[in-house]
Formats: sequence, C-alpha cells, structure tokens
Amino acid sequence: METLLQTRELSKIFRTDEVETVALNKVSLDIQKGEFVAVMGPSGCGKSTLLNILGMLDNPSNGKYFFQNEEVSTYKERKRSLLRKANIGFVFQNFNLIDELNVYENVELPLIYLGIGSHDRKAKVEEALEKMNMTHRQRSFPLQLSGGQQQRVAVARAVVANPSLILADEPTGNLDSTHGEEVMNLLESLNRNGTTIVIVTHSERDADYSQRIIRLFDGKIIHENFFKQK
Amino acid sequence: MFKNYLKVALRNLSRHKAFSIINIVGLALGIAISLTIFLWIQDELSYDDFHEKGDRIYRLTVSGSLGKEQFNTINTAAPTARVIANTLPDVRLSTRILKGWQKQVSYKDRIFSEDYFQYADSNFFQLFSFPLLEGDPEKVLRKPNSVVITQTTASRYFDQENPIGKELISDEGRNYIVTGVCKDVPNNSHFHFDLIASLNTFDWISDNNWLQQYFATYFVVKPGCNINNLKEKIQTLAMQYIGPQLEEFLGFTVDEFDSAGNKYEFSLQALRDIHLHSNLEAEFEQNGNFSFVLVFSIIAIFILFMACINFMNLTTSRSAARTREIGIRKALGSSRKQLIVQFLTESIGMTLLALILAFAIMEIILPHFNELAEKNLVFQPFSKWLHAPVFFLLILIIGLLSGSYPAYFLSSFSPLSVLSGKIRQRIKKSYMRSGLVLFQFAISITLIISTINIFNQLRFIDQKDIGISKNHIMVIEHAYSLRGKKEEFKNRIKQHKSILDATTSFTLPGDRFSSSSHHLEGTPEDELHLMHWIHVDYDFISTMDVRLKRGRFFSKNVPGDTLSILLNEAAVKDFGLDNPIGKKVNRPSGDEGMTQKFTVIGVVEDFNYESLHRDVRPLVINLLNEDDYARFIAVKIKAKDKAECIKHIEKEWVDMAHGQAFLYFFLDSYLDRLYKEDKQTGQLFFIFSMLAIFIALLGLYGLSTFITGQRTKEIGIRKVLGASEISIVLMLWKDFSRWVLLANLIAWPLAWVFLDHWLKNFAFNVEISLVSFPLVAIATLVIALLTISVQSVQSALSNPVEALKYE
Repeated sequence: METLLQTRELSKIFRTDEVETVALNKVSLDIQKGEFVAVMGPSGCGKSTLLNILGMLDNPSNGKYFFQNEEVSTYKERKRSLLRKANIGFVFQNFNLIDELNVYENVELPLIYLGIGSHDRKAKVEEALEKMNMTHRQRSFPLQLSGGQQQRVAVARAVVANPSLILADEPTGNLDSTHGEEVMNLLESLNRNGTTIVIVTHSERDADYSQRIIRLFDGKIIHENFFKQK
Repeated sequence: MFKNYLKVALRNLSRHKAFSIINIVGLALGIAISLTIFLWIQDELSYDDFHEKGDRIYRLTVSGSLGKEQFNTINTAAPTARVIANTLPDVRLSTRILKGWQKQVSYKDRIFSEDYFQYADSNFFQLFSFPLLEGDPEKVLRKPNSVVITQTTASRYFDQENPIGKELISDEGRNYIVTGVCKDVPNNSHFHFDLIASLNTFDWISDNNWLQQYFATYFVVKPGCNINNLKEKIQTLAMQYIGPQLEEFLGFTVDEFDSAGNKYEFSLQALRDIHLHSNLEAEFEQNGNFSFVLVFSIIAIFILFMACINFMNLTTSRSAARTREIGIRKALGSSRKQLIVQFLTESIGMTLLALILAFAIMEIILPHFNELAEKNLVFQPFSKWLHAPVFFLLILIIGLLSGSYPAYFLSSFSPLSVLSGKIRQRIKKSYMRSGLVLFQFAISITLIISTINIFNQLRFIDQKDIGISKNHIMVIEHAYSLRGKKEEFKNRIKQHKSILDATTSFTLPGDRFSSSSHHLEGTPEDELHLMHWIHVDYDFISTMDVRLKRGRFFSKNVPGDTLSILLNEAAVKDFGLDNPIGKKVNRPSGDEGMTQKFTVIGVVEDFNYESLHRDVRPLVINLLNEDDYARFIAVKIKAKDKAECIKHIEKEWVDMAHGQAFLYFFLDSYLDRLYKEDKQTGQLFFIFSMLAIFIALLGLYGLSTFITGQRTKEIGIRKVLGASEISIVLMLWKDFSRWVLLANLIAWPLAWVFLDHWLKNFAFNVEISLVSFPLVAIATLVIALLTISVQSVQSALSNPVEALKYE
C-alpha cells in the first residue's frame, strides 16, 4: 500500500496573552491510500485540530507533515490552498453550505475554484448529485432541505472534484440515526471506490464503519486499533 | 443593573476604539453641520422681524417694459409716497429712503470712508423700529442736514463725547448736525445704515417729477387692509399723475404708451418677504434667496438623517457580533425589556457623547462658516432655557432611532437560537440598508459632479474675453475731487513710463448703469427703446481696449462731439439699423420737458459691462466733458511696475485732489464682485460634496462591516474549497461596485437637471462637461472600494478555520 500522508511529532500550541494550550502533542501517524480512519476522543482532545492540519486549513506549530511525500507543514496559505483544492474534500458537522447558493451551485463551487470549464462542471456536478441521490433537489436552497439532505449535498460537494482524501468532522453530529447512517453508507461506498477517508467522531457506531480507530487524549495518541478489518 | 449596562457599554466602546471613534465622530459631524445650517436658516428667516409694525409694512416696487427692455425695480418717483399716503385712507404712514453713496466723513481729525450713509424722510423712525438712544423719533430727521448715527458710528467719531449737536463734514462739502443716536442696525435687516440723514437736505426732492425714480418707498397700512385692492388703487392713482407728464415730456398719452406694448405697474412687497423673495434692480443689498433656504433645509435634514442612519447601521453591525452576549443574558434570565433598555441606554449614551462633541466641532467651524456666508451667527446652546429640552429631545430621538433596531430585533430571539448562532442567518441582506447607502452615494455624486461643473463655469467667467481688458486696470475713485483738472492729472500720471493710458468716466463696467428711453428719429413717436448710457472721455476705448466696429470714437479735434454718441452692437440691433452712422437719437433729459438730440458717430463691439449672467444689453456711449461730474479714473498700467505706478499716481493725487483720500481698486477684482454669490455657491457645493461623500463613505463602511460580518461563514467555506484571497476580495468588491455604479446612474440625471438649470442663470456659459460624469463614477468607485478594502481584505486574509469555528 502507498502512504498518502504522514505526520512526525506534530504539535499545535494555541497561545493567548496568558494561557498556552497544547492542542496536539507530538502526534505521529501514517495513513495509507484507500484507508478509512476514524479519530476519536473526548471533547478538547485535539481531534478537530488534527483534522484541520491534515486538511491544510492550518499549520502545525512544530513537527512535520508529509502529504503525498511532500513536506507541507511550512507551506504558505496560497500553496496549501492549491494542494487542498485539488486533493481534499471536506464534510462538516454543521454542513457549511452557503445559504445564498442553491444545491447545484454549492456543489459546483470547488470546480469553479479549480478552474474547470462550465461544460465539464455540469457533468461532474450532475454525477455527484446523482450519486448522493440529490438530483431532484438541485434547484433548492440549503435552508429548504432537511439536515440529512444538507449533509448529502455537503458530501456531494466534497467528492465532486474527485479528491483522493475526504476529511469529515463529525459528519453525523447534527443528524438523527437514520440520516446519519445514510451519510456513513455514502462515505463507505466512496471508500470502496478508492477514496481515503478520515473522520472525526464521537460515535462508536460511526467508527464501526472505519478500518482503523485512532484515539486521542490531551493531544496525544493513546491508542491505535490496527486490527479492525472489514 | 444599570451599572452593569454602563460597564458593558463602556467596555464595548473601548474594546472597539476605532469603531467607536468613527461612529461617534460621524454622528457628531452630522449634528454639527446640520445645526450650523439650521442656525443659518433661522437667521435667514428672521429678517426684518424686529419692526413693531413689521406685519403691516410694505414696500412699493415698479415693474414694466419699455420697448424690448424690461425693468423691475424698487426705485419709485419722488412724489409717490406723499401722494399715496395723503390720498388713500388704507395707508397710514409712508416714508422714502434714498440710497446714499460712499463718501468720506470727518469730525476734527477723524476721517472715515462711509459706505452706509443713507437718506430718509423725517418719519423714518416712526415707521421702522430702530430704537433711538438719543433724540426724539419724530424730530430727529425733520430739519435739513440732520443726521442720526448708530451707536458704533458714534463711538468711532466721538468716543465718550456726547455726539448730539456735533457737526460731521462730508467730502461733498455738506455739513450734517447729529440729532440722534440709534442702536446698531441688526444684521438681519434688509438694509443697513451707519448714518442716516434727512432727505430734505436735498432741495430737489419734493419735486413733482413722476418719471424719474430714485427712492425706495415704504408704507404702513391700516390693520386688515386688503393688499390686492390697495395695489390697484395705487396703480389707478399713480397713473392719473403719470399720464399728463408722459404727454407733456414724451409727447404721447397713456393709451398710446400701453398700445405700443409698454407697461408700467406697481406692486407691494411685504417687509418680511423682502430678504428672501425680492431680487429687483436697485436693491439696497444682495438679498437672500428662498430656494437656497429650502435647499439648505433639505440638505440639513438629509445630513442629520444620514448621520443617524449610519450610526444605526454601524451600531447594528456591531450588535450582531454581540449576539452571544444577548444569548447568555437571556439564558441567565434577562427579560426582553431589560435588553431593550440596555441597548437604548447605550445608543442614547453614545448620542450624548456625539452631541457634546458636536458642540465642540461647531465652536471650530462656525467662524469659518460665518466668513463664507457673511454672517455673524452665534451658537450658545444653553443661552435660552428653551434649548435644553430641544437638545434633550434631539438626543432621545437620535438615540432611540439608532438604538431601536438592535434593541428590538436582536432581543426578540430565543436564547438557544442566539447561542447556536442561527440568528446570524436570519439577519438577512437588508435592501433598506443598501438602499440608504445607495441614496447617500447618489446625493454625493450629484454634488460632486455639480461642484466640478460650477467650478468650470467660474473658471470660464474668469477667463472669458469680455471685450475689454480688465487686467492691470487700476481705478481711482472720487475723480470729481480733481474738479476741472482731470485732463491735467491724467497727463501728469502718464509721464510715468509704465502708465500706458488713462480715462475718466462716470460709470465703469461692473457698476450700476442708468437707463433712459431713447427714440430714433424717423420712427413712430411712441417707439421707445430703454437703453443704458455711460459717459466717458476721449481715452476710453484706448484704455479699456474696447474694439471700434464702425465710424469713429470721440475726438478732441471735432468740436461738438458732446452731442455725438456711439452705440454698441446690441443697441444697433435694438434700433434695427443697418447703417447707424449719422442717425439721430433723442433722449429726454433730466430737465423738465427737454429732449437732447444726439448723432451716432460710431459703433463699438459688444463688451460685457454687466455680469455674464445677462446678455450684453443696448448701450449708448456719451462724451464726458472736462467739467462734468466724474467718479472714476481708470488707469492702464504695466503689471510688473504695479507698486511703483501706484506710488507715482498717489503722489500726483495728493498734489491735486484737494485733500480727498487716495482710494483705488483694480477692475478685475471689481468685476469679480458680480460673481460673489456664484463663488459662494461653488464653495458651499464643494464643502457639502466633501461632507456628503464623507458621510456616504461612513455609511458604506458600516454596510461593509455588516455585510462582510454576515458573510464570514461563506467566506470561510469558499476558502476551504480553494478560493484565493484575491477572488474573495474581488467577490466583495463586485457586490459593492454594483451599488456605487447604480448610484451613479441615479445621480447623473439629477446632476444634469440641476446644472442645466444653474447654468441658465448665465447668458454666457460653458457646456456641461460630459467627461465629469464617468470621471466621478470612477473616482467614487475607487474611494468606495478603498473604504471597503479594510473589511474585505481583512476577511479574505482571515483563517477560514476561525470563520467556521465562529459559527
């Protein structure tokens, strides 16, 4: 198997005037292409921070981060942005759809930023919406959709550019169990087609979908379950 | 609880210092400017309100037409006042004022040049309320050569001495005995005097000539008098007197006069309407303009309103960021009412701060404003007990207006939705908000385009060839002091190599011109042409560079040129002449029943002897003889030797002018006077457009803070999805650009209509500059984008994780 990303002694420290908070403390981990990894741990253990760094939304304070064998931890926003939009899709707990744009336009957005022509965009958006079974609502606005539908749109947006990695931060956190399951099944099917998936979750049920669980506590990895195989 | 509000309010203010300063200063500036304008308006509306009989005082005016010339003047004939008061029972009292001319007045070694020396009938102080400190109002102006002076004038001449009975000597050789001292004439009077002498000083004033008009006539009417009826009675009565004189002097009847298309009509103006509604010939002073009062009222209200709206916008955009605080307060048990009280307390407190600051700003700007507007406005906010509640009300209204939106809107949500950040989504794009910013920009752009074009026109006035050379012409006043030695004086000063030429005249371009009816021989008797005339000496056209079109100018070598005249092109056209040379023109002379006959010897090219507001009107040029009364000597000098020339001329003047002080001015600045009001308009527009754009930018800043704040999440998402900083900034710019461009589209026709109207005031004007429109559009776009850049760049650069966590 090929390594997609590697971190070595990754640390993240937040400083305010008086307080210094260590969110991540020397975290080293490897994720292979095609893996489905769940990151778990109590609130404040650094899960989201780790995910933000893996998604190149944020830089670590210390340590190294290799993304496709490229050391990216010192990259500036511009370069990170280039890598990010080409390779990574995001799914958030609160969906983060743009209210002013309709379903179709929301899904189309990453393709616009990738500079893809409108003809190609149409095909890709339609394909993604079809996969998520949202074609019938493509002219609706986010506020007109149920939470489950919104998250399906968010997943469609995350996959539309065909990224090699999808990062999902509590993707079922705002959904009931039926809708949550639906979304997890979607992610699983994406994973089966070769997309690497990393989710942050509180839910053991969600974690069950993954092949590996990484448990964080106070910014450190305290447990890695390599035995879970589907 | 209140202490807690205050604490939070103060901390909020100090935590967001830049924001608080912008917000409070913006509001303070708006209040200060609009209060200043309101002071000005109050002053304009208060003119002549101090006369006890003011509501019953009317001024008589005369309008009509003679040939193609129109006239509309406050000057009436000498007998009018007397005859009307004696005949019509509706008229209780009438008085005449004769506008005096500048003269030098001395007492012992004290000499002053007096600009406000007027003459009036003996009952002047019974009709008008200018309180006398010394003297009996019924007697002070009864005797010839009596003069009443104002308090300030008295102290100028007499210090602590009692002025009564003292003799003042004028440079015309008349002596006046001071018979009374009155309080200074208030600023808000439509005429002013420092000295006012008895009209019967002149023995020619009681004459019966109805055809010569020099006097302003005022009446007090009976209470409840019908003014329209009175007007008609006056018309009928006066024509009974005018008719016979028309026949006697001009040789035709009133009916013939009327049927030839001529008109002669009396009107009455209410005293208190004069300042704002009258703009006739021979007004005492430049009056105000009611449309200005209207326009400025609108501007003042607009500025105040906009400042409030901006204040509200900025406050709201801040309170949206305080939703957490609201949620927590609600969760902890604060009632909605308490929250409303809290927000209103804050906004009223800020308004109070702004008002205090506004008073300070007014202290600074009022002197400058007074200079510009030529006023003596004083701002004493607490001089009257009445003011306190007004300001209290002002604070309350502005505070409530600007605090109500955040107070009522934000406090209405359930604590949970506030805490979970959901209400952010509900404070939707407000078209009202954008609409107001749009409106502000439209007004600013209208003002800016107008300002540019007004200055264009002013520059045009400055540079236009008016047919005479106005630069480097120095004009010496009181030429009559040279008695019969004007030629000798001219020759003596011309000895200097830098003095090129000199001419003596009775009037000068830019001065007031007398007019008379003229008759061309060989045309029907009743075909009269009202024309201005000017008396000049032989050197007029060479000194002033007036261009001779046909014939010749006056010549010393031709005797009898006294009865020769030249016409300007407008006069030739008015007479309808193809070949004017040699034609005879008659003019009734001042002496009863006499008519002067002149022969046309030449035609000069039209030159603008009046302001560029009007076309060049017909002008008759007469020869001024050595012995005639002359007022001016115009001297053409070389620019580089100006100082030396003045010194040389002064030396000769002192030698020859019999003690008359050496007073002079330059023709170009004398002509500039004609455009004083236009220049003031230009300056005011400049100031208002700067102010309006400042307020509009403040509004835009508020709007951009608000909108960018609302779009934080969207911007975060876009960045996560790969949007670059530049694309984010461009996206925000695009949104705001739309508003600014739309504002331009609204403003353009407004500016066009206004400018078209304004430029029509000038007979000679520039075209509206088409370039100024897109230029202003680009300029406003650039400054608008710079203003929002503060916000947009900041949010574009922010870490998207922060933005999303925020939710």
